Amino acid sequence: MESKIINILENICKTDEINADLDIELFDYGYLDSLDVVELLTRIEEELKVKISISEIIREEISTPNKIIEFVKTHI
Amino acid sequence: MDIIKIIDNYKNLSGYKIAQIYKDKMISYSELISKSDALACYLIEKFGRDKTPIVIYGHKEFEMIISFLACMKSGHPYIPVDDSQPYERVKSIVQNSKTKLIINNSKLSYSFDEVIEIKKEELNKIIHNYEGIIPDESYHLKDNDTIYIIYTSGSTGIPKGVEISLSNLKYFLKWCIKLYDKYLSEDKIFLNQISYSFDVSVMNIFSALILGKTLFTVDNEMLSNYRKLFYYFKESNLSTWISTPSTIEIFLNDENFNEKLFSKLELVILAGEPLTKQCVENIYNRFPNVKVINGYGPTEATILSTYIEITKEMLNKEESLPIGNPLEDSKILIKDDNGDILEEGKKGEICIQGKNVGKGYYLNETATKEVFVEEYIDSEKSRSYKTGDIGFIKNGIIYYCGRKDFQIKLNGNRIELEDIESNLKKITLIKNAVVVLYKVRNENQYLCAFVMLEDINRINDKKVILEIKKELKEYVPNYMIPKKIVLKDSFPININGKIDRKLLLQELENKCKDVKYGK
Repeated sequence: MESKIINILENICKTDEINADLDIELFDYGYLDSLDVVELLTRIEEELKVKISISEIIREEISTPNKIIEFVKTHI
Repeated sequence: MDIIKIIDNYKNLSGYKIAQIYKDKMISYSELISKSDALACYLIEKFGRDKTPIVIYGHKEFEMIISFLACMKSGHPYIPVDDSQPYERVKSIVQNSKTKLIINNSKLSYSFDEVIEIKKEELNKIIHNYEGIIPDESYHLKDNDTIYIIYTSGSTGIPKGVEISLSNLKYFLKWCIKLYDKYLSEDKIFLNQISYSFDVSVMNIFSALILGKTLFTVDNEMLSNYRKLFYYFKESNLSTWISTPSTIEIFLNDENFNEKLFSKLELVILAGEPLTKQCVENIYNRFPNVKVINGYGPTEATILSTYIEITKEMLNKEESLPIGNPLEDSKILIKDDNGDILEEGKKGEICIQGKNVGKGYYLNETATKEVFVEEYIDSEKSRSYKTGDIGFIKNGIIYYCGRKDFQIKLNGNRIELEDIESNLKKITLIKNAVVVLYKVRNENQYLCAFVMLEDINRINDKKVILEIKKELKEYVPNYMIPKKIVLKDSFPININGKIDRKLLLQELENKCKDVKYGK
């Protein structure tokens, strides 16, 4: 699952450099914006069959690749 | 219409009239008015008849609107600067505007040589000290005075200040009132979410205040905690939603964003970037009883220059959604490169003419003369603004179809690509940089920077990219940081000897395809 999430993130962030640092702050460095969050949730639902809606999101909880992985795990 | 007097009158009404709701706090009209009076008196004592603009820095604090009104009452133009703007950006605004005072509502320090900085705590002390004193009316802004200067991205890397007069705003607000009369019932609560650095926020603020209605405030922190925000929305009784299409699209993605959440919603106004049919369809599905207005307009011509109600019939038509018709008594002309007016159906530059055309770029005559022109129409002198937007007219309705230059809109933010390039070039690691906006159908658009490094040996070092992003963050707001940075050893050159942007885009496109098909 982890690798799938990283794969999704690389796709949305249009880069593979996040793989080098899973604690990188994605919103602070222009990798993710609010519209991308919608895209992220859609992809997680499609590819991992985990449904998370926008109203469950706190940005602080999904601000790094590692946090996103944890967040998805708690929603399975 | 005397904006200041109209707002001030709400002070004397009986009962507690709420001007603004923000989190669990609210400010009444009488508090807003008396605080702005007090601050205006301080400004008059300090500066007298000197009308130098004042920078108001912060986010959605009550003190922001108090300060805007205080500036109007003491005769100063105000420069609203949202706290998403980093220090270096604020510095260039301070230098360009030659301001003598910055009212700083943020927690950070913004001290510049010879510029007085008033922080929030001090501001509230001042307001307390001058409590009960009312400024002399002779200091109020006059029609030809500048009410606000809003700084937008400039291609040189230094922001440009768009100067709007009090009479420009009055003209616009007269139209607003008519619009709200047509679409809204008596209870009016307006969404106040758009950053004060973006001029559509002026529409919310002043239409609510002159109508004596309430602003329901949403800040950036709430936008990063949707869970809390949805609870907050539930209590809002919102009647008018105003935002960029991107912002509402995020919410539409959640099925709880519907009639139950906003049972009193009557009107949705969307502006700041092209509106898609899909977005409007979603809105009508969730809110069968609301009307959707699409607005278009550059900051230079006071907030919105054209508007149209998007009907369900328009959604079934083949063409993309129109931007509509000009406001009453103003004109939209489509011109060719020679400045000649084109006939209906032909594509050309959208030019705006009328009382909404602003004064120009503050202390920048060269830039002003390039796009603001005086013209004679029916032997009457009139100002017009060349937008740089491309459009055409069909059946009397205007359609937008792109830009003449490198200005782009990303999630409603107006950005000059050359602005990002100039700032990238400030970074010592970087020799040269080109920024493009990459768009693929059905995918979110994003910025990509192609960068040539000073030290060619680091071209395969991924850490460089983060170093670049970190430094760029000091010069530009987050929304201007390119998502993707591609390191290059050279740039392709076209026949004219310039960097070939098209080829770079092509390269990016091919790269993305390769990734998709797993090559």
